[in-house]
Amino acid sequence: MLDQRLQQLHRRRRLQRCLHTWAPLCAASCILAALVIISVHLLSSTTLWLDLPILAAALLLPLAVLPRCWAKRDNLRTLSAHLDVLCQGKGLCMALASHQYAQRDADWMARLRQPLENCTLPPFDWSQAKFLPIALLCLLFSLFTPQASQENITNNHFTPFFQSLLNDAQAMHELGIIDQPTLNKHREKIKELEQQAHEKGMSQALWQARDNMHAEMNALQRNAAQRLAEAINAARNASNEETGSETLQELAAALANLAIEHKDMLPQLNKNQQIQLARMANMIQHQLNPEQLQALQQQMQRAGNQHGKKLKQPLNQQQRKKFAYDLLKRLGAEGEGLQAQFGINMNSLVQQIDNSNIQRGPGHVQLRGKDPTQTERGNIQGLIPGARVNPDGSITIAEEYRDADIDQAARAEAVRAGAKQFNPTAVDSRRNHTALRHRSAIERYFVNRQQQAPIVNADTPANTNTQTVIPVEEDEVDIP
Amino acid sequence: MSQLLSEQHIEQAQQQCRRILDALNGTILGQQELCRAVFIGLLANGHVLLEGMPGLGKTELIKTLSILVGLDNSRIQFTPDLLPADITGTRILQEDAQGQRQMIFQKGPLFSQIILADEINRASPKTQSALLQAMQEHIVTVFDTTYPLPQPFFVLATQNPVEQDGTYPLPEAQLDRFAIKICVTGISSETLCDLLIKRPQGSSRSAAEPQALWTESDFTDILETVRNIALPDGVAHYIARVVNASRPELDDAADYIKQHLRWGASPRAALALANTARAAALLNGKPAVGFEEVKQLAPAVLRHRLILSYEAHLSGIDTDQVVQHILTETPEVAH
Repeated sequence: MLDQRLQQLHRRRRLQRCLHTWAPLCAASCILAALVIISVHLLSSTTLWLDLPILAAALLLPLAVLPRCWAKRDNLRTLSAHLDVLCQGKGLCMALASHQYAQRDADWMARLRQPLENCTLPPFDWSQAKFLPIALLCLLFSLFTPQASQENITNNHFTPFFQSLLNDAQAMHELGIIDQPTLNKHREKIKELEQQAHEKGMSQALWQARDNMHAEMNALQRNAAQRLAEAINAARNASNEETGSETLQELAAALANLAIEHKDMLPQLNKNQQIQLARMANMIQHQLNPEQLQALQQQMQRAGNQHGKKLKQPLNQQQRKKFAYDLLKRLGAEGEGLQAQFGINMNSLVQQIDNSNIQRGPGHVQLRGKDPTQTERGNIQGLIPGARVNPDGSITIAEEYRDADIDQAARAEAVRAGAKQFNPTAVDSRRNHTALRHRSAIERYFVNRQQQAPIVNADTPANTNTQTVIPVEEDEVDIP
Repeated sequence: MSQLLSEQHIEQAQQQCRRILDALNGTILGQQELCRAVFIGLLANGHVLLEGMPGLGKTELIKTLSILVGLDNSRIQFTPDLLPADITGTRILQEDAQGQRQMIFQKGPLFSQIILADEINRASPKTQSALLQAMQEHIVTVFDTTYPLPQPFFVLATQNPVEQDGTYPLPEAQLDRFAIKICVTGISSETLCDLLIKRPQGSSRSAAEPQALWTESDFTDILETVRNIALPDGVAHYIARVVNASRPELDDAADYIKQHLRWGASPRAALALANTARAAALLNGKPAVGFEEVKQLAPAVLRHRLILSYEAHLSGIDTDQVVQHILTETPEVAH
């Protein structure tokens, strides 16, 4: 019994010793292998085959210490002492174990039998292996680390030089400037350049190739921007034309609808007033942007729909003009919201129609009839700037006013126009009406005045002596 | 290891020892552990030092024990004026019947089997040193002649713990000669009451005079039996590790030991611990020493051999605490 227990204890201690030696080593090797596998996965895309060898090494290498641990044997003194403590032999176990079986006293062995039978081996101590499950889990999870793709390899000193190209190409593809095949072609080219840089370093040729690619992309971007601008412009023109023509028609129709329903509200418009109304409608059309025009249209329709009646038959041109005046007056009454929303002073427009007894002919800016400064011949103080419809139906959206002192051509044009319009002694007219003896004097006069005459516009105070006005083309107002 | 003693032999010796202990406990009331410890020291063939306040029965214990075991005993009351010759003996001029004069060595009280050295710390160092040779070598050298002391030879010394005028602390060399040192404490109230009732005179004169239960040969046999108690290798290794654990000069000594001890135990302490453990095993009826005996006797064996450091004195740590720390930190089986 004593020898049997000693053998059992010896085996248990040997296993325990092996476990205590192997478990920490295995945990450490698993952690190390996990780190290596993760590094391999993240840094390389072609070394996935290394996972299995690393895994095998991590699990098998710690086993190398087991033979040595297994071969190590406890001496009899240590074993008997451990057994004496376990079975509470109080020294008897140690004393008897030091003798051979035949030499042991039977009486003392009998006294030791019961403690030996009741003796239980201590449980396994797993304290040294507490980190092993965690290490194995780490090793397992490391196998599922995502593999690095070829594009994600960034251990290249020259990658930043080509990253901007890739980003530009990607952005151009997202904006629709280039299609997917073109993008792939650019990517391949950039990767090829990057690979060359990685192998041989950045050479002058590579720099040049990179710059060429940059220039090519910039050119693509500029072309795309230009095409976009042209498309926008065309769309605007188309939309403006369409909006203008449709809006003008709808405007007139709305005005006509309202006039039919409330004839008694409309004052009698003379011909001039009708023309002014038409001009005002045209002016409204050209002053407003498409959104504002649409809102005005909705307002006018709303005003017309309040009465719930529609045209039974189309109106002629004169009727539309006549009734547009009424609608504008109504808009002036309701137009506070419109004014606040779009900054349109409907009342001023209506007042212009009321005061529009004076006209300067087709194609000219409307004058305020009651303003004597505007009615005098040649007086340009009351002139207000206005847009004009070009002969081809287009609308001038901007005009550049330049100081006549700066722009010789504008000054000459102004001089010529002034002379043509209001100065009978101008260059053209004097050839027909001025005596030869007076031409030199007159010419010197106009030369002097040419150096001092400003270009008249709405913001600058007009010089009453000047005879120069902004030329306005005599265009007929396009009134549908 | 030699053959274990038979169970009958052990049992017989145990009974003999139990008789002595019973008789001793009957004379010295309320001091069973003290009596056992002193008897163990005696069985271990070692000298015993008792330390305690006066009136605790130290002298009575030693006297009774010496009578019970059937050994010659003598009592030496140490005083500051005691000379070495007073205890070892000296030559005196003696005239015989024929009128011839010659120097005859007159043996001193040291020539006895059991020496009761009362208040040993009152003697001068010179007188104390006279005991050194006797305690260690069991011989006495007077002038140029060496005289063997009777065998067995034991010194059972007492001392008061309180520092008094005219006392001389025992040197470490002499302290190391004592196998065990026992601190005698007071008795319980019940025991004191019993003592007052049964011993109104306050001494063992009220009780029956102890009779010798052993002869010298019996004592010698018992000593031989104790020597034959087996000391397993594991226990011997444990004793060695415990003793070495008390040495602060070793590289692997614990920080606690280095901090609180100036000097540790010597190999003589390990021998004393082994011998006393054997005696304890015999009293427990075992043929071999176990770890329990070592743990039980380590404080008594080591407390007077450890030299505390200055930090230990400041911290109020005594040697018993250090010994307990050593026993706690030293595993029974080395891994």
